[in-house]
Amino acid sequence: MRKNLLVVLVLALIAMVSATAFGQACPGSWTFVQNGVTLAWSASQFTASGSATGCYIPTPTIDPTYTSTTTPSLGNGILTNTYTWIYNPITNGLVLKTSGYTTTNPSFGTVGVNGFVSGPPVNGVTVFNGYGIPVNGILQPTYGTGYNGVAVPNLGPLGNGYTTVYVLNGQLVSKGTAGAANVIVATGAVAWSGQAYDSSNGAALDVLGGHGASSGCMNCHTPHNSGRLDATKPAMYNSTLGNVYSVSIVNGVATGTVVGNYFTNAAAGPFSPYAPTNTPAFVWKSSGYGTQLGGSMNPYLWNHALTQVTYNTWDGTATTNTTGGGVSTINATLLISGKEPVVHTLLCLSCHDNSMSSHGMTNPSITKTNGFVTAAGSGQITEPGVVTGTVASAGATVAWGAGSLATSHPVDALYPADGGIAALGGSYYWKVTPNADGTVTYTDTDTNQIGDSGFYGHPGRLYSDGTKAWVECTSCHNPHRQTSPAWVNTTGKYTVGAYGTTTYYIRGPYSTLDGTISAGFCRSCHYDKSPEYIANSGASK
Amino acid sequence: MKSKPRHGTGNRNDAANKLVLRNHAGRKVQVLYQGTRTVDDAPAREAVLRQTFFRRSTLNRALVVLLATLFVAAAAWGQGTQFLTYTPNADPLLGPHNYQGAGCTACHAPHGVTLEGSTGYLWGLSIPLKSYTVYAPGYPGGTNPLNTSSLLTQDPITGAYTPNNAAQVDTAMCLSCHDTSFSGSPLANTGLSNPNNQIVDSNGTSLNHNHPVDVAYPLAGSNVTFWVVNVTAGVATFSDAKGAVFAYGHPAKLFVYNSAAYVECGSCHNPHNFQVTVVTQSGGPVAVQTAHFVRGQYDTTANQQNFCVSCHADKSGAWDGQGDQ
Repeated sequence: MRKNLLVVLVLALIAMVSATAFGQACPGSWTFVQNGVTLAWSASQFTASGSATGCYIPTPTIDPTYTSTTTPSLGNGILTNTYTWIYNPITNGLVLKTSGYTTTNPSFGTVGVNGFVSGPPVNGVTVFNGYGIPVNGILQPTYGTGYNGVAVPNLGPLGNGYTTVYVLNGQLVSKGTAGAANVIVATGAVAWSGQAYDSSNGAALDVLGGHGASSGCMNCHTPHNSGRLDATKPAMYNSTLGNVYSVSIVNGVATGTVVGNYFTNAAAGPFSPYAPTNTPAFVWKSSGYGTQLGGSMNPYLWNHALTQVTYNTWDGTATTNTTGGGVSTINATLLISGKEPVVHTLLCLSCHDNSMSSHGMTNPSITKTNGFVTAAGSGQITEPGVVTGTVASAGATVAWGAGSLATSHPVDALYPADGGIAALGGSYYWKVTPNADGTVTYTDTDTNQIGDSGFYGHPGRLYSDGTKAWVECTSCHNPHRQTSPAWVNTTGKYTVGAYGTTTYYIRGPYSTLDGTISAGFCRSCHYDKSPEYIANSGASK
Repeated sequence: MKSKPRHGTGNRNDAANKLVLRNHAGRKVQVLYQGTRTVDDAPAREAVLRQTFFRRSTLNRALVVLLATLFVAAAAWGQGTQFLTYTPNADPLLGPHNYQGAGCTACHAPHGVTLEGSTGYLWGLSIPLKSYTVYAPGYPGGTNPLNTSSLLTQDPITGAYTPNNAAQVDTAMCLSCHDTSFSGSPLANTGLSNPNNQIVDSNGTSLNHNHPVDVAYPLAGSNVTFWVVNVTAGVATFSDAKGAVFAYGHPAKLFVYNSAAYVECGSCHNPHNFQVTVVTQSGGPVAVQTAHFVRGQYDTTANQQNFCVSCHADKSGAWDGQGDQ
């Protein structure tokens, strides 16, 4: 018997070793395109490690001070088709609204309304006025530079220029003096000029990042609620109207016709007094909001106005969200009516809606190369609110139109506490329990999203209205932690610094170079896309 | 009584003669049955089991533990879960769809999507707007040619598109990459000689050398050669109407538009599951090995017909020719 067992054991070991080796073929080479520059790794640079990890590519050596000086060749030629553009007065540029134009011999820089067409938009790729946004992998000449493949942010409405702009991981963190020639310095050694941070304190960058630029905490919060959010001072920026153009470009000559208007913020900064030109639809309440917001008349001591715009969300204009629950539109009145989770989206829109922004956050949220998402921006998330009614004179009442969040992941959307299934068309989510205190608890905490590296948990944060769980902007993003994620773990305390860094303020570990790590964050909610779903043979968890 | 090696839920005697192996989560992964000993009563059975599985010597205990571990690993291997091992930038589920290490964002976008709405899947890639001929002989109700330009309506505010056809989009999205003649494809100019990349023919207009896509699947009462499918509340469901459940299951996914069921690229392929997936077999979910992102259990060396005949009933042994299968 013992001899037989030994024979079986040896045979099994041979089988397992062979099977493991079968999956170990390492690729011969690997390339990565960064700002149009191809970085290549040869076969000798791959490391074949033990059976548990297989082949892997060493950490790419990307020059932290990498700056592209390549001037793109825009060619010579003609745009021949007719397309609709929206003129964006903030960037003083145009946004392409249709696709399919003829690209033969395009001639840019001499075409467009007001002289602002700066790149070859392809298939819906948004183009702005040459403010360092890579277009089809080509950096635009005006502010042509980038960092680690991430677009340099738009300089925003005060686009008269700055002597120096400091960028870290694609985030605009400091500006120099306006009025001089524009120079972008993309460097990891970022100097800070903000009030809250010492320029030598590199650790601060890992926390607030671009959200702390210039004014630190006061970029978003105010320690004293000194009338800024008083009901007698309407919470609205001084807004102006931008035009929506229909532009025809024929033989390189563009003519435009105004077909509509939309609101855009003119100037107001974080410490500027309001100068409302329109009657606000919403001001902060003078009394409490309820337990979840601490009964505060100004939850989170917020230092900005709330948007007045009603936004279409992911499922467009439907009256009910038939797939994920929730609502199809959101605006600040939801907060008044007691739907408190929505505040975790509304606050973000104070800056990330370019109709409200005081920080020039007008660059697109996504940059693509040949239709492929290559970089994320830091600013504009929404499309502007379009004025649908009659445009009134300054000081008169104007109806706010609808903006759009339809191009973003659902926000203020119901998360199925039971994991979903039928109600979500077959999608499965990790099960949760909405708590009365506004928190939400995941039922299963054993989510080893990154291999067997430990109990990764569920870094995504859901919000409870007491009975239901909701997904908001800050379910995925933690505005206080740019690169160092922290989330509640199984002990009720926080996991900090484990499993790697993050980016884009994502709440969990996130890598733009390792898809398994980045997918792990998505899978911490989307159970049916996770390895655990397979390991559990599809059983709900 | 002489017990026989067997699988499945055992009777009382079986329960007494088996060793259940469980993983760290307590899930049953393997059952070992005592094989050849004659067992006359409970004490004797116990004695045999002790002899078989728990010899007194320390060495044998260690060997048994090692053997059990190997059986657990072997069981996992057979289920395809060996593919769940993590290696940097080699996602166990997405496989090559983890393109350039982008993970989910290789195809989807959390912001700035190109397709809006619940039928847009947060799609982050451009879609070629043109017409393709498709292979659809004898299958009425489909669209030939498939014109992606007519599929999409552009949002005047965001510039993104909303699919007009909730079924056809599940083919159009695939063409974002797998039509390598499309300049917006991340695989543009890379895939004409690579069948894994290029689905459309070299002139970029024909899909007619592929299995039909965007063709109607005949519903219950309209055919005798396919498994019976009913559409209810926007969901197409295989019914196995005759009650004889097709053991392999029906992992293919049909997409519903205007109360009709359509076969699209996503009917056969699940882009999220490269080598392992979960299917329903014999009434319950189970993790199985697959290949080429096929939605069902798929072995490239044997029994490949099972997935095909899970729709094509007339090619299966379970077909009765009456249309009520």
